[in-house]
Amino acid sequence: MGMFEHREQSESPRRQFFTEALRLENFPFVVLTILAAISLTSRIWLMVH
Amino acid sequence: MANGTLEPMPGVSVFTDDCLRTIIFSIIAYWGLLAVVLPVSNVDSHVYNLGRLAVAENAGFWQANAWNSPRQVIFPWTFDAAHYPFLKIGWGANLPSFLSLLGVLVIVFNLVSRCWGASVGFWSVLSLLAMPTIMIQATTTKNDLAVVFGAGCWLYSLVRFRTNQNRFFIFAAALSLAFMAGSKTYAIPLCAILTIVTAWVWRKEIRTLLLFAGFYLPCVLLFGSLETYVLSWQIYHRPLGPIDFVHDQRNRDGVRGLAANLVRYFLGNVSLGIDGNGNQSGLAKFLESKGRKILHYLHLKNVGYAFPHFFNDRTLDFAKKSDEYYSDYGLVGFAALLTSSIYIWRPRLRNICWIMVASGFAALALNSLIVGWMPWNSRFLCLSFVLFGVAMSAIVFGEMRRSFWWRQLFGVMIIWSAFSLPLLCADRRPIDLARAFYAREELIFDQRPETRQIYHDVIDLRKRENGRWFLIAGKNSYVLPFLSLEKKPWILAPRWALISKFSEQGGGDQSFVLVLNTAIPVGLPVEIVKQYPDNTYVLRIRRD
Repeated sequence: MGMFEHREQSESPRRQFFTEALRLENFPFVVLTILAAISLTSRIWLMVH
Repeated sequence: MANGTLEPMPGVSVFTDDCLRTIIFSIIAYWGLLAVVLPVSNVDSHVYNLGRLAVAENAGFWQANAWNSPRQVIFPWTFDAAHYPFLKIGWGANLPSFLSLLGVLVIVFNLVSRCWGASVGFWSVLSLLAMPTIMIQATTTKNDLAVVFGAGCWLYSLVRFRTNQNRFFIFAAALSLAFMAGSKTYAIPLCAILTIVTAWVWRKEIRTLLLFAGFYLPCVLLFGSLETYVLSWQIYHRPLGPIDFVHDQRNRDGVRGLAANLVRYFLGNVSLGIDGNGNQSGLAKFLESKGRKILHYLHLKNVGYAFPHFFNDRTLDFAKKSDEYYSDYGLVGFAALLTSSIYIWRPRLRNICWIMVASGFAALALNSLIVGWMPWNSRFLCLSFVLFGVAMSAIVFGEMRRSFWWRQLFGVMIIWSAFSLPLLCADRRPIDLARAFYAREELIFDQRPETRQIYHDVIDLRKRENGRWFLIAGKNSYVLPFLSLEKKPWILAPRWALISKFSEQGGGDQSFVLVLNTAIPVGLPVEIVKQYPDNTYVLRIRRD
């Protein structure tokens, strides 16, 4: 088992999630999710406040 | 061994990958800085895109009286609402559009690199960075790039799901379609078409399709901006808004309008680069006169226009100032349009370049059919020109790999256009980076400078005089800067009867009314404190 594989196995799910999110090829999905989350929060705030 | 190393590779180019990467990063850094520091500057955002966020914050969303423009009510607002925290911070208002562009660039690079290699991926990215309208829209608060980003994310999700059967990509496909539809009215038919395409692609994978449907419905409910349709129905009894308003915006002439608009969009994007504010080259005037003649010969005179009582072939405007409204896709856009126009006549259904070109023209035709022509419609064509630009790069740098001179010619044109764009355009020049700090207010009111004096007077009066402040605004008024003055709350009261009621109550603090672009009725119990052109006043309510 290589060093990289060993490290991958020992990574916590949270750390794995962030490692995955920081990869350039996943950047569009990170942007989409962030914009959608900001938009939803703002719209709910403006509709109910 | 010697033979193998000495023989030139067909793909070897004057511009190496490292060189292209450096150019791309430096250009992105410039535009990124602009996106962070520039304030909200375009008319539409001040009037309705972001103006309505301030109205909703002041008077609530579920009300019928405080909206001063139908556009604040009827247009979907999912993307606009993403600007709200940036408005509160006061910086980075253009970041949602810029992040969308970065997302599009990453998608383009990844998809193109898979088919033709990294070098073609870099050229594709660079060709987009060289198109004026795309870069202007990436550093504005308008919502046109959100449509391209949504469509790009959808395609990217489908491709990623094919290689990696992760359910997240099914969710991402549903979210991107809903986000796109909630961002812009003209994206709704596009969303419907892409939804059908998704169902077709996954027709043999029933479980995937069901999962997609399971994600799609909640995503549309949450991100499809359904509340604006409900509000519109409550106020105008029609989900899409007042019938005259909707009728004015669309192409009323069907297929004839579609054909006329295609001619206009094609001629409008014939370009040798940015003309600047003065339209020095005279190319725009030349194209306008030729456009009138062609439309006349084709019996398409004056068809396909939005607001036909205002726009027609006589007022045809192909200005290439490269500002937020009058802009085209530059020399690279024109080259991409020409390349695509030739390539489309060699239909090969399994060729990705041909599919991109055909999709670009299909998006252009859809837009021409739905939306009536206006001089500032260029930004609606972002999706088509992204597809044309990427297709051109793939054809020239991928398919024509062995034609050395063509590649160098296109390469120089793309790099020259990308570098000269900030220096030649009317907005987004290097000096604007500095102006964002020392002349921020000037930038805010750049497109309507006459409002700046009113803004100053109102700030002064609100400092000096205690009391209630009413705001009555017309349908095209700049409301965002005034409603952003937070120290004293605004009472949004478009109905004059309310002013009279406050006057009758008497006593207490003084009351002022800021009237923007609205005629005052006779006999109102007010005195004029300040008067400006175009029915704009600061009034003091008399206490009886």
